[in-house]
Amino acid sequence: MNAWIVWPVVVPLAAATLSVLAGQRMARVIIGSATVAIVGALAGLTLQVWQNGPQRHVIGGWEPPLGIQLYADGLSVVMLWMSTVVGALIGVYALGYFAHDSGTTGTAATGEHGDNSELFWPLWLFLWAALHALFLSADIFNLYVTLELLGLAGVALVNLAGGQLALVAGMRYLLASLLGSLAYFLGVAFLYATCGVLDVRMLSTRVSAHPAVWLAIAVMTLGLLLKTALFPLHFWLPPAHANAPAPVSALLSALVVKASFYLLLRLWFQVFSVVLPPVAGQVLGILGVLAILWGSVLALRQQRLKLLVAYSTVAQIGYLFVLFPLAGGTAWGAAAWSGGTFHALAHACAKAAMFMAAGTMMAALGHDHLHELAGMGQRLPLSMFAFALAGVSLMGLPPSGGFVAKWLLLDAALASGQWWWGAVLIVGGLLAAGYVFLVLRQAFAPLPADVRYRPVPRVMELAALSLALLAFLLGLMAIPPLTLLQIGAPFVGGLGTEALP
Amino acid sequence: MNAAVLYTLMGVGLFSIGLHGFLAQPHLLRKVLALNIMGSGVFAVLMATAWRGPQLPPDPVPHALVLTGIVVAVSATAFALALLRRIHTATGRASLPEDTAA
Amino acid sequence: MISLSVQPLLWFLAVGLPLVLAAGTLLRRYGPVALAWAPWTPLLALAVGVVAPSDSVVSLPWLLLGAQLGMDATTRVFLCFTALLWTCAGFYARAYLVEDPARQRFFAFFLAALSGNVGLVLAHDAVTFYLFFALMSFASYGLVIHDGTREAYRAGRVYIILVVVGEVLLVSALFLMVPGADTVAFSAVSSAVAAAPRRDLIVALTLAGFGIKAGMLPLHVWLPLAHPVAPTPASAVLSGAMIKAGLLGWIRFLPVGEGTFPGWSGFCIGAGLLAAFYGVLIGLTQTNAKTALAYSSISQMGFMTIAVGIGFASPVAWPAAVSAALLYALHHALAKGALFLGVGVVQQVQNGWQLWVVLAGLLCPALALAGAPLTSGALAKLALKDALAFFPLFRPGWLEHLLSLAAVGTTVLMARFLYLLQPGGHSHAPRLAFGLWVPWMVLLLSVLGVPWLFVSQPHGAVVSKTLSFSAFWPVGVGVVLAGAAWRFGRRWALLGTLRVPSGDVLITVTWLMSWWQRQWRSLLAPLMAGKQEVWLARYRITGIERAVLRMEGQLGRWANAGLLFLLLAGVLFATFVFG
Repeated sequence: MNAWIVWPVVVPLAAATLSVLAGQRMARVIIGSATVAIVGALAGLTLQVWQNGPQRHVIGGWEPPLGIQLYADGLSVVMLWMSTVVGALIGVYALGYFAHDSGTTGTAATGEHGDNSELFWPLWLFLWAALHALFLSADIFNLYVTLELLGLAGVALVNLAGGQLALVAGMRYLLASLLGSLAYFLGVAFLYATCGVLDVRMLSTRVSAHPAVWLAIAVMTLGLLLKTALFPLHFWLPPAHANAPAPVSALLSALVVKASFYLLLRLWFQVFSVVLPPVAGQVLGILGVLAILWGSVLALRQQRLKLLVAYSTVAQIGYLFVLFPLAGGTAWGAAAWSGGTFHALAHACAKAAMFMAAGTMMAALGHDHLHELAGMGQRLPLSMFAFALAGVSLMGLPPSGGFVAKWLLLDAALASGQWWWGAVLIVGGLLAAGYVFLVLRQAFAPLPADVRYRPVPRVMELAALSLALLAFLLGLMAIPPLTLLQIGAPFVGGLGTEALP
Repeated sequence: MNAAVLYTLMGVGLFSIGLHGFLAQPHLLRKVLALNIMGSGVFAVLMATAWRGPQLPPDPVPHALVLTGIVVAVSATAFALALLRRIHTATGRASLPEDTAA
Repeated sequence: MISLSVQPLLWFLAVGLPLVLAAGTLLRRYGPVALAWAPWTPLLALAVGVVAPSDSVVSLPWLLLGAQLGMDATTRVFLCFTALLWTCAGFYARAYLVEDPARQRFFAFFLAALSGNVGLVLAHDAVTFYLFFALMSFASYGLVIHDGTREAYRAGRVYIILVVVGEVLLVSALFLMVPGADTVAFSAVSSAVAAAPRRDLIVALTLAGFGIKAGMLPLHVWLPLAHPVAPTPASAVLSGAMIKAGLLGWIRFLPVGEGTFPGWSGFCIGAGLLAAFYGVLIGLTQTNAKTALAYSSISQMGFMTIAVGIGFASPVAWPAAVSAALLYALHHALAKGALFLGVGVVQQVQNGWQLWVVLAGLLCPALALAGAPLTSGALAKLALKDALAFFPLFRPGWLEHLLSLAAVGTTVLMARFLYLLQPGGHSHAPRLAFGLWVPWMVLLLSVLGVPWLFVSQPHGAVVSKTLSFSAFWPVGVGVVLAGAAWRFGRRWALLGTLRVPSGDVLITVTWLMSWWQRQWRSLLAPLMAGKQEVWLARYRITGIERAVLRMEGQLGRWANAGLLFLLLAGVLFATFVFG
């Protein structure tokens, strides 16, 4: 049995369709069993990749270029685990969130369309399917289709909140997402015109230094940068992530932005690496640095908790791009590659936890104004604890995943002699401490007596706490994912952890 | 200049016109239409690549891609239009605030 | 002896069990159980300190990029006094907080900080050390703010800001030092730092980063605010055990003993002397007994900084310097812990008889800190002077005199502390008072006995050395000074020319100090009063802020976003063409 690879895509897709057709109660069963099935399939796939190296699967026996091929290496598997674990815990959180929500009548969070919540489940499953398909697709056109699926599911999820702010933010998100996909699609057309293949592996052997190829890479990269919301193309992200329902904010910030980043990694280091000059990586690195600074500064200036967390995402995305100038050399490429990817992983856990904790506070208070959060430390200690733990990961303090990620990136920065990238990582950590403490300081202020407060389901707090603990302890379990990442990685020879004992 | 190059340039031209409209037009319906024009531009580029010579049958792959692309474009357009209607109902406007402020 | 296979388990429990119990205290069902077990957990660390064979290392390759715990001479000394102090403080806290509704929260932070403290002592690689250091630092925030008063929150704010600054300094140092080392094990770190291209930067970052914990001037500002506001048992571990983590960090990370660094040697000796005197002088002006003790800690840490400075001077001096630093740390931890716990015991006294017993008891650690003959302080001073004999650069006779002068100051400060104690005022039931007395007595006995266990020379010879004139005279002069201040200070106060609290014993010194303080108030007051959080909070620069927000708005306009999109595509294309 070697088709484990199919199930992470097929199961959520089928479950999504079924859950639309089935009633409310059946939907729970479907979602639960789908999650278990995905975890099982993923475990099987992981074992295969671990033992036998990268896996390929041709769907229905139809060979490329007309057929669809799935491909899984270490990077795909790590990304799949990220999306499965984070996605599942967000689902657990959503159980509590929407149960709590349906008890509300017309709060700011739900608006006039509070009854849309049952649509969350199929959309969440569609988003899952799209993500998994994206992480497993092996040709650039299928990747385009999965990108579009992901974008549409994401926008629909944002609009679940109803309300003017969410609708407008969703439209902006949709337009930016479509523009990004179309730019990517144009690049696909150019590449097919010049190289005549779509398969990633075949393409990597055929690309050559040709203006059409360069143009294709430029527009594809820019399209993906827009979808990843890298500064200065981040304008759509804060309103969309801040105005969506909390579980959706978590899904988008934790997972969806990582999808286009993953695609960039694949394209830059496995398809186009032969035709890309090092200076191109420097351009992305500079944008990453600007994103870290800009996002952090704006996070410090926000009055609303969810906007603060969203701007923190803008900043954290910047770290991912520090990998591009560093992964150039063979000696330190592995460290940079592992560090950047690990950062995506750590940020997914930490940011999802943060948005979930913020959503819990918002559900309890009915708003998320920063200066009125006083007393949350006493009312929702678990949520504040989750927020703080996630904050530790964002700051990059040990033993968090953020620490290991920064460690590896810094190792690469120093090994390649480009210490200034390392300096930015440290400054970014300090700025992150600034905005995390901005929240904690408010939350630990004495409890005002006259604030109305609604109790929230415990499951919301526990789900956020589990993810925060995961982010916090990811550094303790860094070796297995880092080893897994080396399978099929472009930088072979060494674990990227030689600097470590 | 052969026909394929001409079609490719035409596709790029369509894409650029669409992009300009997308960025410059504040009305959301125009933005959605502009995105469709950009999509058509990409389709044109793909169709041009299908030509393999006067006697040879065309390459079927770009056709498959364009067909799939059309399906994607239709769904995206339908979704955008539905969203546009809801925005219009909710706010009474058919444009985004950043475009109407100026 | 416990067999080798049990060792890792015991070590792991010593670090992990407090953490598990910390989580347990937060759960409604297991809270009481965890609370009951909490004070016993440091005994595991003590057991490790007693039974673990020297130079044993436990590697946990799966933990945090590969962690190492180990036992060497330094670890053993630190582990023994750390565990002893935490045990006494733990039992003491159980009685002290019995009526406190938030005691579960207190023990959650207490246990987490304990785990961090034990973990960092056992750590044998840089990353693990840093991990536990961070755990301890962040957890003790909960101890500082426990009482929930305005002062506590203010102290907590100052503390947490400096902790974060310290973390950033240390992580920067760590990142700079590690590429030079093949591993992050301590055995490799010092030599890697010594050979690192950016050695001076690493040393500066490390000194400052751990200096915050160790109360190094001028990074000490949080310490006199935070140590006194915490509940008394927490003050004891903060000022006795946790402050030493800074010293341990220096010993582990700095390239001491790896070469000759005259500049850093001079810097550390200068900074140590400054702290030794500054702590005493400012401490004398205080009116709160616990604050006076906190200043005394700053002063005492100065002596340990001097030992590090000697270590910087030459590899030859390092073995003597490190044993002096260790002895000092041990002696100060136990003595300062006993003094702090005594503050709470004094509040329990119900009659004159008990008061005299407590004062007599407190006199032991106070005299020890002053370095009186036969006390652990005299041992520590002796070790420091022995280390000075190795000082290769010059024979600093004046340095020994300065150390004696500082001992005079410490004596006066201790007298001031004893005067400031306020008997009674906080009375528990007799059974609970018993719960305070016993741990305190145990700690007092440790102050008297334990340091002698770590003296390698024959005890007879050491005893006769501590009975020298140079040990006697500073204490004697100090006692005379304090007595004079008490005798005449009152009369001067009656003259009405000085504004002092009535009956202040140390009026002379206080007057001098307050005069001195008035002169420098404009410079020092913000540092003394802990107002620096105001400076740090004022990062709002409205002009720039407005520009940033306006630019963010501009970035959100479709036309601008589109132009940037095209521009960046052009830039990328250009790099492909010309790159």
